[in-house]
Amino acid sequence: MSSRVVVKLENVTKRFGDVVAVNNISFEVYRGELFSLLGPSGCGKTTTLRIIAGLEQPDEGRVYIEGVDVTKMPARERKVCLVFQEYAVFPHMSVYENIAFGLKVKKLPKAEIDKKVKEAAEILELSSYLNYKGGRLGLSEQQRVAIARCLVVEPKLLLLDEPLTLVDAKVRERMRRELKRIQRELETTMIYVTHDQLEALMLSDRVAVMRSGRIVQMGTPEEIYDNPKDLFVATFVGSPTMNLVEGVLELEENKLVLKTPSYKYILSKEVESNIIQSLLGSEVVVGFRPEDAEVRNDGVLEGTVKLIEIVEDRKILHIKINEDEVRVFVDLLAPFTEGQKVKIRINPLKLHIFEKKTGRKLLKGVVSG
Amino acid sequence: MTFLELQKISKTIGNKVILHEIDFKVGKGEIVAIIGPPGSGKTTLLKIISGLLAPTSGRIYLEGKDITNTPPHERGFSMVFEIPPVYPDRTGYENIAFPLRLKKLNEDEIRKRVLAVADLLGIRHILDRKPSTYSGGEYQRVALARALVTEPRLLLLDEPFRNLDAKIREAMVSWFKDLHKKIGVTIIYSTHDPLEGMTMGDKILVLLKGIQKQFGSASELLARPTDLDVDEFISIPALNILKGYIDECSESGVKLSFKNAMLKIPKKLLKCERGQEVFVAFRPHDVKIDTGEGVGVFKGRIININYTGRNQLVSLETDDTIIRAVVGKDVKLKIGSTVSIIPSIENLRLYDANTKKLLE
Repeated sequence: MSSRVVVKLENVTKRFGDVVAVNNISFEVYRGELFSLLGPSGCGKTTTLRIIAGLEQPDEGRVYIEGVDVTKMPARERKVCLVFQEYAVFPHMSVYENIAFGLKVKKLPKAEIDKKVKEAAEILELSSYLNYKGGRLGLSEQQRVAIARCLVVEPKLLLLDEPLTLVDAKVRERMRRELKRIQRELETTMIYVTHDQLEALMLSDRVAVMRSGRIVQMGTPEEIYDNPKDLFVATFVGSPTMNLVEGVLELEENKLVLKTPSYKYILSKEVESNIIQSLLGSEVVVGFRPEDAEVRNDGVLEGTVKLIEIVEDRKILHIKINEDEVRVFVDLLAPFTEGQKVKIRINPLKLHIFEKKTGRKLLKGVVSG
Repeated sequence: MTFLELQKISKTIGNKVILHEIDFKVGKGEIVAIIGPPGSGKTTLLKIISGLLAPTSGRIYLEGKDITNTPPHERGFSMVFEIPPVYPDRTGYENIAFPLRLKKLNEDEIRKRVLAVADLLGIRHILDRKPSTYSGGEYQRVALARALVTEPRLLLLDEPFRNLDAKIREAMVSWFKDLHKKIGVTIIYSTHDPLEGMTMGDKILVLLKGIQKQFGSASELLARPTDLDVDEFISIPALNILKGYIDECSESGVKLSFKNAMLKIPKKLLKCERGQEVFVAFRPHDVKIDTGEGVGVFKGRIININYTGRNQLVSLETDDTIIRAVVGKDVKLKIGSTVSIIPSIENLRLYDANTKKLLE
C-alpha cells in the first residue's frame, strides 16, 4: 500500500437488522486530501464515517489507516478526531480549556499547549473568545471550538460529520471558505460528510456521491459537476437543479428533436448525426444545467415566466414550456416579469442525455455541425 | 391596502432591548420575510405578532383595528415554529384535522377541509401514514397543512425550512412560492438566510440586533442598502469592504484613494467632501480578475479557491484587505499567483466611514 494512502476501505458492508446501511464500498483517501461523502439523508455516509472512526464495526470488509488494519481496533487507539453535527463543547470550561483539553490529557508542557491553543484559536477566529465559557457561545463558535480542539492534537485524520448544518447561512458561507484554506495550509487529511452539494464542491479535493449505501460516483468536484454518471448524480449535484425533459430523440432535417407525447422540442439545429445515431428512437431524459441555456430573441423554445428567484448574483427564471418547467439564469437587474413570454436557447455542447429506464448517462454534448 | 400594521413595536426584557421600534405595513396577500442572524429578534417579533408575547410598547393593527391586547386565539392567525410539533402517534390526517376538532366542527366538514388542504399541498398519499415514515419535506408540509386548514387570516412561519436538507429546501422554496400564488394568504416568515428571504418575500424586513435596518423589496435592498450593515448582511458570498478616502470630487465623478491604489467612479454624490473617509463596498460577483499584465486597480495574491460548480470563488490578499471574486470556472488560476483585480465601478457603493450610511 502506498504511503500516500491514509485511509483505505475494502468492500465494507454494514447492516442494521434487515437494512443494508453501507453496501460493499471501497475507496482510498490520500494524505493532505479533503475527501467528501455526499448524499441525501439515509444514504449511509455517516455510518461510513463512524466505521472509519471505530464507532461502528463493519459486518464485512476491512478498514486500514496508514497501512494498518484497524477493523477491530478500538476507536481511541485510531488517532482520529471526530467533529459532530451537534457540538460537543464542555459548557463549564472556557474556550481555552476546551481547545487545550486533548493536549492536557497528553501531558504536554504548558508553554507548548499555550502556543498550540493560541495558533488554533487564531486560525479559527476564536482569539477574542478564549476566556468565554463554552456554554455562552453561539452554535458556530461552538463548532469552531470543536474543530480547533481536533486540530491541536494533530490527528492522522480529521473526520467531520455535517459540521456546518446547524450554523446560519452567513457563517456557513464563511466557514466553507475558511475550512478549505485551513485544511490546505495545515495539510490535514479530512473526511467530510455532508448532504449539501455546494459544500462538497467548495471544500473537496474529491467527492464520493452516495445513494442507498453505495458509492454512485467518485471524482473531483469538476468531474462530478460536469460529467455526472447518472440521473441521480446529475440532479443531486448542482443548484438550481439540472433541467430535465423526457422524450424520444429523433432527427428531422439535420435538427435534433426531442419528442414528448404532446410536443416536439428542437434541441439543436445542426448535429453530426453519426454521434447520436444509436440513440435515435430510444426513450431518454435530456438534461441541461440552468447556466447552459440563455434567454434570447432567436431562441428555439418558447415559454412563459412562472416564477423569478434570486440566487446570489443572478435571477433565475422558472419558465413553463408546454408541460415542462425549466430554469434559466438572467442578470440580477434584468427587467423580466412573471407571465412574460420568452425564448430560450440551449448550448448543445452541454446537453446530457440519459437512458430513461436506467438513468445511466448515454451522451454528453451534441456537437453542432 | 394595509392589512396589518406594526407601529413602533419595542420589547425590553429587564434592561435588555430585544426589539426597538419595529414599524412596517403588510398588504393583504403579501409575503413579508424577516431576515437577520440568530439572536436578532426574529422569533420574538413573530411571537408578538401572534399574540404569544406582549410588546413593551407600540401597537399592532389588523385591518385598522387595534389588536395589541387581543389574545392569540382571537386573532385568527396560525403560527408554525422551526420544529413544528407533529404528533408522532397520529396519522397525517389526524394531525391536520386536530385544530378543526378543537373547533368542534362536524366530521363531514373536517373531512372536506383536510382533503382539500392535502390536495393543495400534494400530501394526500401520506394521510394514512404516521410522521415517523415522512421525509423532511413531507413532515414540513403536514405541519403547514395543519396551520392552513383553519384558513388563518395571517400565517406566521418561524424559519420553516431551516432543518431541511439543502436540496429539499431549494425545492420547498419554489413550491411554497407557487402554493402562495394559489391560496393568497398573507404570510410573515423569518429566515437567517438573506437569499432565501429575498426570493420568498414581496417585502423584506432586515432585522439586525433588534433594530429595523431596512424594509423594502429585494431589488430595493440590492440596489440601495441603507447602510453598510445591511449590505454586508444580504451579500452571499461575503461583501468586499475597503476603507479609503475621497480624493477628488468632480462633475464626472469621485476619485477614491486607498493605501496603494486609486479608483475613479462615475458617481456624482449629493454631498462630496474631499478627505472624507469612506467604506467602498462591492459584491464578489462584481469583481473581475486579470491574470495577465492587466490594468487592475489592485494587485492580489490568490490565497484560496473554492469551486462552486458554476463558478470559482477566489480569495485574494491585497495591501489593504482580502478581496473575494467570483469568476468563471474556465479561468485557469493557481494558488500563490498574483493577479490584477478590477471592481466593476458601476456596481460599487460608498458608505460614510463613521455613520456607515449610504452616500448618494
